[in-house]
Amino acid sequence: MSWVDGVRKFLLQLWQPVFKGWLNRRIPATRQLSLSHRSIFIVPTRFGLLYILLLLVMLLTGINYQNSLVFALTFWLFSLGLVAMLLTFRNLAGLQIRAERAQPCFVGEYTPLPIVLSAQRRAHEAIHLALSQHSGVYVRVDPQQEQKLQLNFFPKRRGPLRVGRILVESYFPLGLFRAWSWIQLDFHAVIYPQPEYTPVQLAMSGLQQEGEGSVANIGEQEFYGLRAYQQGDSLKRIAWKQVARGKGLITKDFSQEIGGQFVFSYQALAGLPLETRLSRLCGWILQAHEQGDLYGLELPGQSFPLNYGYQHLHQCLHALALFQAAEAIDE
Amino acid sequence: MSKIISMPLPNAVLPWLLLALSLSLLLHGGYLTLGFWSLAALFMLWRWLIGKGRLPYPKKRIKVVTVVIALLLLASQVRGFNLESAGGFLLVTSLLKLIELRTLRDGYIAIFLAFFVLATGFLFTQEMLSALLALLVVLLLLVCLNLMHYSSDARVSNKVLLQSAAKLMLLSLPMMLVLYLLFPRIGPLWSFTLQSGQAKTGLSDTMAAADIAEISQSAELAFRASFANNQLPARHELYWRALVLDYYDGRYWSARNRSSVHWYAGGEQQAATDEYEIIQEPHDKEWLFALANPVAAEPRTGVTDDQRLVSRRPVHQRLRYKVAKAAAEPEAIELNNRERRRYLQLPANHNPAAFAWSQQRRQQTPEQTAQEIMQMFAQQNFFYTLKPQTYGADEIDEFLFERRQGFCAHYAGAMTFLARAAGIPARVVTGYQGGEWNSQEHFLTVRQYDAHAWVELWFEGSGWQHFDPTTMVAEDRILYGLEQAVANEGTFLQGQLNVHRFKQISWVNQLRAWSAMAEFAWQKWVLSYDRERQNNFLQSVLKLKNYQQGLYIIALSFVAFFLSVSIWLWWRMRPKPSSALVQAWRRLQQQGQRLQLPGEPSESIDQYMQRCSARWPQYQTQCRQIQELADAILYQPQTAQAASEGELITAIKQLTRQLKKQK
Repeated sequence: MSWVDGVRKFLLQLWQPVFKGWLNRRIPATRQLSLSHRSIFIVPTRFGLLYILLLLVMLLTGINYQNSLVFALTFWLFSLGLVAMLLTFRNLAGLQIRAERAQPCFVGEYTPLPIVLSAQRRAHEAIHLALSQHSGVYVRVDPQQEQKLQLNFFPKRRGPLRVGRILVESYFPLGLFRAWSWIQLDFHAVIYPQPEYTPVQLAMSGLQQEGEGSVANIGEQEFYGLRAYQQGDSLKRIAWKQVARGKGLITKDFSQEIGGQFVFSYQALAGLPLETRLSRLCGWILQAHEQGDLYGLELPGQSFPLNYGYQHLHQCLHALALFQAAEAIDE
Repeated sequence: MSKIISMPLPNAVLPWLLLALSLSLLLHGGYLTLGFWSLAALFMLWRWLIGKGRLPYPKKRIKVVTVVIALLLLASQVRGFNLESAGGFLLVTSLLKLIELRTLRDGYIAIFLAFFVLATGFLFTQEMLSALLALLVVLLLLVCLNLMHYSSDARVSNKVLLQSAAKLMLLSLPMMLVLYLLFPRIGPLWSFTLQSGQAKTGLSDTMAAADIAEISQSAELAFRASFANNQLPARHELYWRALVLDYYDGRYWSARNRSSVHWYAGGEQQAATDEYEIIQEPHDKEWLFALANPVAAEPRTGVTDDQRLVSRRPVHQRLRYKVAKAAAEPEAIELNNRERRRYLQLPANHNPAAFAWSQQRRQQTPEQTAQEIMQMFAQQNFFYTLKPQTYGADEIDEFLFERRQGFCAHYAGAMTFLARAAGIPARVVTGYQGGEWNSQEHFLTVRQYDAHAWVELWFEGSGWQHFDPTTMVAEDRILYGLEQAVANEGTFLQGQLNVHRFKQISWVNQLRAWSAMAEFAWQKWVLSYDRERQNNFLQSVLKLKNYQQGLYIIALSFVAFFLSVSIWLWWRMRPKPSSALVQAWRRLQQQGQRLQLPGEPSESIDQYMQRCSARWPQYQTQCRQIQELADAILYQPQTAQAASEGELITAIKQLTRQLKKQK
């Protein structure tokens, strides 16, 4: 059956852009939406088709035996099918879906996409949400209650977080019909480059080659361990990467407390591909943070002077993430 | 879907499914042998233990062995290729599906099989109770389907499940009724349909005395009749003719000759009066039941030469038909030689004494002879019993001159023999006599124990004349029914625990009357709703001319159904009307947009006003006022007065007017 698959693939390739364009017009990306007849699709499942076949056989039985009760049962089951179709549709219709702000994260790490489902009037049973290709979650949404859930997303590219369409589907109540929608949610987050950890000292050599910026006071310091943040701890000693992951404030203990000063420059990494350069810069920035150093970042057209702290870290990482970022969407 | 259907079937589905399946087996109970029941119980227990985790899912080898054993068992239980064996095969299949019930996919298949088992059950029983049972099964199966689609962690109470299934059924009822009433009832698509292999209780086209004695023991329904003016004809007219037996071989009377039939062609009714309607239970034979002198009043029925009503096809389903009574007595017909031979046929060297008795009376007129025979039964010591001892080779001699014990078949047979021996063309007629009249609902119930046999003699000049020799012996048989006739004997419905045995108790009688009424209404309005009745319904109730209009109605009701649902959905989801404030604000922003100062979606009133006053310093005061009012209303709602919202709207409108003048 390989040629069938081939044909199928070919047709899909022809069809997909058309479909996507149509879908983008019909269900544009938003922060929140309420599913309605505009955004819900519904077709019989394969068991819905089998059910129709069953009804046809029953109808034939009724006709050939001229049996009123078989007719009655057939018609009742048929009407049940119609009602089931409406109820399946209704199970999605009116469902409100909202994207919460996602935490920024790095390429190559799973990031949870926070989604809040809510309903106005009635409960919505067994709603299946999934990113395409990934297995999703099943939830029940009660009226007047918010149902929070997270979908795990694995970003492959840095830049603004662009999640592909999310599948919202339901087979409830009888499984004869499948109602679904492909929604595009805007999580307002950025994906930082995948950090590549190379010794911070390499940044110096780069600087020396380029002859710009300055580096001072690279002291040796030994990382001792992590402990919970206490009031009065220096901001330089907070484990920012842990904070960025949402793990709360954690302070790093060093055996020796000697800070450094770095200016990381994009130009210094000339000759390397774009993404590698950004990954290196990202790695350095993170290391400098963990060490509690003062650092700055220089990108073509942008520069961030020596500074430290959470805000500075995210400004720098943000700049790296969006630097000549492609507008592609991760599926 | 592919991922979902291979998910395991929730265990909660199992009890519902097993219950539904065992209830649907009850519909097939009529033909299921003990072997079937034990097989079903075994499979259900097996699956139950698997569900409980006591037994593992069967391996492939075990499955194959089970299938082979089950099919062998099936083959041993059924005979031939008929409806019962097909039903049995279906049942075994759905039972086998039970033990490999694992995933949602299996669940669907098992449930769909159960639906089909239910539908085929109606081929065997169509009682009202069966239909109620079927409703319950549909409800249970809907619960099963529904349970399969809750999220796995959802805890749903049985009450909620049953309620939502019931809701589904009620919601679908109107559509079902429309389809039931209007869907064109076309005739069978092919003529060969698998028929039941079980012999039905009832008359047969050969009469041996023992046969009638046997069916007299059955209280099964033969047919029901209702009359045009709700008036029950006189009891002695209630001879329901079914068969004419013209051939005697010394042991059995049988119907040998095929008589020609005048099929209904429309228009026969002019010559007829007194229509009556019969709902007949299936008996797999062509003959129908009618009173004397019938005229066919229904397509696909006809009247034979010997005044019987017949159907074109064997009656495999309950059949409803109209019959009329000829307005005038039929003209006395002449017998041709062939017919004369046919109705004078007697086996040679049988019953010499009876033959001799008749030979002596050859000189009399036929009327005299007939009268003498009837008198003989009345005056000599004849005795009516359902349990005569078995007669020997010359049974009529033995009956007439020695034992003188018997019932209708003996009396009718003997009289026909005597008449033929005396040279009078004669024939035995079998059918039913009397019936039970329901005076509230005006219908007559005729049961198998009303089966009867009587005689018709042909007289020169007056044609066929009706004689019932049994009345000479047991007048009660005709006046009050078999029950009275054999009251002393205790043979009536012997050995059956049956409500008919408790006829003397009044409340039992009342219940019986009610259930009979319900059953009659059920048959009249539900079961016999066929093409004819549908046509009548379309024409008289809906004033439609033909099916086509009926189809339009179906289409229209579909459209109406979807339209009303869409309107309802739209109504539920309509956007809330925006307040006057929002509308005013939107108009202001439209003006802003026209003047190249569009509002940002995330912008507050405050921010937009700031930008406005920066752009148009001349409106600074208005902007300031709007800012303050908005701030008061939106952020300090407790202190803001209701009037201040009006002020804000006025202020916004004022600014809008001013912006409108701006170029």
